[in-house]
Amino acid sequence: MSRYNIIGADGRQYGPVSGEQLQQWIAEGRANAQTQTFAEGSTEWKPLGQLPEFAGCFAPRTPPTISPPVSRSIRKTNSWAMAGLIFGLLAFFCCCKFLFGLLGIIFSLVGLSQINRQPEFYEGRGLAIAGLVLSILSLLLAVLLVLVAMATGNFQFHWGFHHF
Amino acid sequence: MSAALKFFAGVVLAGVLLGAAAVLYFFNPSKYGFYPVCQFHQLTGLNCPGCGGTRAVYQLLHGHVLRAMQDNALVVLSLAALAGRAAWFGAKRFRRRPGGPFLPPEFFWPLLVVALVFTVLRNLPAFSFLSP
Repeated sequence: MSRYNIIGADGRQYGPVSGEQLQQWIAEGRANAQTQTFAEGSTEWKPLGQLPEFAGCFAPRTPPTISPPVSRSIRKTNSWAMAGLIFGLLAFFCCCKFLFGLLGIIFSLVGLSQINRQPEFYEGRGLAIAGLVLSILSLLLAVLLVLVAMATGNFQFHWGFHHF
Repeated sequence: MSAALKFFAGVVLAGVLLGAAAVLYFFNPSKYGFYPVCQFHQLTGLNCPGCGGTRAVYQLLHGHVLRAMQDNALVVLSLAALAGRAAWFGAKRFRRRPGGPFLPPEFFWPLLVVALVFTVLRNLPAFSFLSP
């Protein structure tokens, strides 16, 4: 039966021990694939993992599957971010600049913060940023239009309400 | 974003909201015309989901909940829901329990449907009590 010497983690030489004893040590974690080993009759020290008779001890175990809670491919687009973009687009290109602009800013910011907090669950950062930019521009445009209207005397006071 | 920046942003936001509330409190939107107009209403004559919202908040600030509901029930109920959610959320956080995001995204689409239904209804003669 072959006998082996090893260099332990403390740098001291252990052995000679039988192959069975060494297998026991591997199982106990006192020796591993990197442990320098001198097999009886061999000419040099080798890492234990390179010795064919111990190859079976280091067969890779299937690692326990620690799958991430949600795999990348099924991240959901954050609804608030989507809403922020929609309101931003409507505000900028259509109408209700003030209201939609405000809502667009709020929704985009909410979406952005949720995406940043849990990027493994949500995507849509681009949508949120685009919505935010469009909404801010729309608000600025709305203010500008009001100022222009006031300056040119076109601003109507007491609009609409009292005419029901 | 650093915590300090978030705090500063929160303070600025609170200040702006308080300022707006103060202006609204003293200047009735039905009597003063400097408030933003609703383009949708101007163009079509119909009521958008936000129409009456400013007047509703004015009524709320003066304690007239029923008049506020008549001006814009959607805004009043949304504010109440937000306040309720803030209380729930704050309590959970105070007790260090997990609570998820403040505004869960899955609520957005139902909210949108409610707003659209409200918009359609309030423009029908049968439901004119939903409009200011």
